[in-house]
Amino acid sequence: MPITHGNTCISLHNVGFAYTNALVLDSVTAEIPVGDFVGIIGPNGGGKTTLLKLILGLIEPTNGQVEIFGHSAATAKTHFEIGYVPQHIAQVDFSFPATVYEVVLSGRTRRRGLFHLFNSDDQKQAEEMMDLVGISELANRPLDQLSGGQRQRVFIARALAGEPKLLILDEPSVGVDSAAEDQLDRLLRKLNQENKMTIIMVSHDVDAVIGQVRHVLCVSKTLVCHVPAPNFEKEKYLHDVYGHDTKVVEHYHI
Amino acid sequence: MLEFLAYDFMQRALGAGLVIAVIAPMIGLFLVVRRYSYLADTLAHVSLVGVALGLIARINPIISALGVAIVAAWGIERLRSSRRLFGESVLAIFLSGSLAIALLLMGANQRFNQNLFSYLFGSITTVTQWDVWLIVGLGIVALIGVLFLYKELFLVSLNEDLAAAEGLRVPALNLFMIMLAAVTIAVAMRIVGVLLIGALMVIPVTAAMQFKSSFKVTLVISVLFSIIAMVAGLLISFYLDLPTGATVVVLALLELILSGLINQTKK
Repeated sequence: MPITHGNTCISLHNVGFAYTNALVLDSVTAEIPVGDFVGIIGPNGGGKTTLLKLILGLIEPTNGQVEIFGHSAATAKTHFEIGYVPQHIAQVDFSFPATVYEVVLSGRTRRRGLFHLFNSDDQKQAEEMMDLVGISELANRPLDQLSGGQRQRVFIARALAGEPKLLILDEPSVGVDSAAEDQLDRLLRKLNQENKMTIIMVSHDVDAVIGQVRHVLCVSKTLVCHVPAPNFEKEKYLHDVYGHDTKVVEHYHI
Repeated sequence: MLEFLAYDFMQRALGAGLVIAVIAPMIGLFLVVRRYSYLADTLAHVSLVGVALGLIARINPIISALGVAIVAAWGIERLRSSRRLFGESVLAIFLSGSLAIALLLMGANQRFNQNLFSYLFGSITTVTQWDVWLIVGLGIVALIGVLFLYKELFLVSLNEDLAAAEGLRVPALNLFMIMLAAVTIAVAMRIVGVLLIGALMVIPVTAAMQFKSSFKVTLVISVLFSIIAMVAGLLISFYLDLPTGATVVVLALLELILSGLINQTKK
C-alpha cells in the first residue's frame, strides 16, 4: 500500500491500464500535493485521457492504485472531492434546452443526494459560483446562445458548485479565443492561489500549459517527466516523446 | 356545449386522456434531448406483442403490453450499451420484428382482428372503467419516477461522463428512463393507439423547444401543449366523428408549426 500523507491530493502508484490487449498506460507513479496546479501533457494517444479517467474513477486501473485524498478512486468519497470540466466542444451538446443557471445548479446533484429536490442552499451556491466566474448576467440564457469562452465558464462554475477540493479540466483551451483563454488563465490562477484549489489541467498544447502551471506531468505510455514548470525543457520533452528527428516549428496563436 | 360529459365513455376518455397528456411529453422530453425519439415508436410496436398475448391469454392487454414493453426496454438498453449493434439498428430490429410477431399472433386468432384495430389506432369507445384506473395508477408511478429523479435524469441527459464522474449510476438511470417510456406507452396505447404514441411523446416537446427556454419551462410548455391537443382532439373527434388519436396528433402538429413560426419571427 502506498503511504499517503495528509497533504497528498493524488497518489498514483505503479498505475497501468490496458484495453483488452492494448497497453495504454504503464507503471505511472507520481504524487500531487494539495494546492498544486498541474498540467498533464503528452502526445495524442499517449494516455492523457486515460489517466484523467482513472483519476475521475470512470475506469479502474489494470495495475496499481489511484488514490484521491487517501481514498481509492471511484468511491463515493472521491466523487465528492472532484469537480470535472469536460472537453466542452466535443462532449457537450449545446442544443440541449437548458439555461446557464440550470446547468450550474446540476453541479449540486451529488451533494443533494438521491430523491431530494434542490433547496435554497443549492441555489445560493450556484449563484455564488456564477458570480465567481463572472457569468451571473448570463444566468437565464439558454446554452446555445453562448460563446466558447462563456460555455467553458458555465462548466467551471458547474464543477465548483459541488464544492470540490480538486478541479480537473480536460483541454480547456480548445475552442476558445485568445481573450477567453487569458480570462481562463486568470480565473484558474485565482482559484489556485486565493481559494487554495488543487487544479489539474490536461492539454496537448504544451506552450499554453507551461506559463500557467506549477508542475508539469508528461505521459506518453508511461511517465516521461514530472517536474516544476520552470525546469521543464521542451526540446528534451519533444525528443523523449517524439524521437530524434523532431524539429520545433514555431507557431503563433492569433 | 358540455353534453359530451353525459356520455360515460367520454368521461373515461377525458380522465385517461389527461393522464396521458401529462406523462407523455414529460418522459418524451428526456428521450428527445438524448436523440432517442425513435425509442418511443419502437416500444409502442413491441407493446403490440403484449396486446396480442393479453387477448389470447384473456388478461387486460394494458398489463401484458406493459410486461412485454419492460422486458424489451431492458433488452434494447443492454444491446445498445454493449455496442455490439448500432443503437439505431437495435431500434429498427425491435420495431419491425415485434410488429411481425404481433401480426402472426393475431393472424392465428382471426377473432381478434377488430380488437387489433382499436389498439393500433386507439379507440375511446372501448375504454373500460378498469382501464381508466390502471392508466391513472401507472401514470402516477411515472410521474413520481420523473419528479423524484428529476435532477439525476437531467444530468445524465446533459452529459453521461459528467454524471458518471459525479458517481451517478448511469446504466441504471438509463434503464430507469427507458422503463418509464415503456410505462407511458402502456398508458397511452388505449386512447392514442400504438402507431401514434411516439408522436405524442415527441411533437409537443419539439414544439416547446422552439421557445428556447429553460429545461423546466420547456417541460411545462410541452405538457400544456399536450393537454390542449388532447382535450381539443377528444372533443373535435367526438363532434365530427373523427379518429381520436389522429385528431390529437394533428392538433399537436399544428402547435409545432405555430411555435416554429413564432420562433422564426422572433429572430
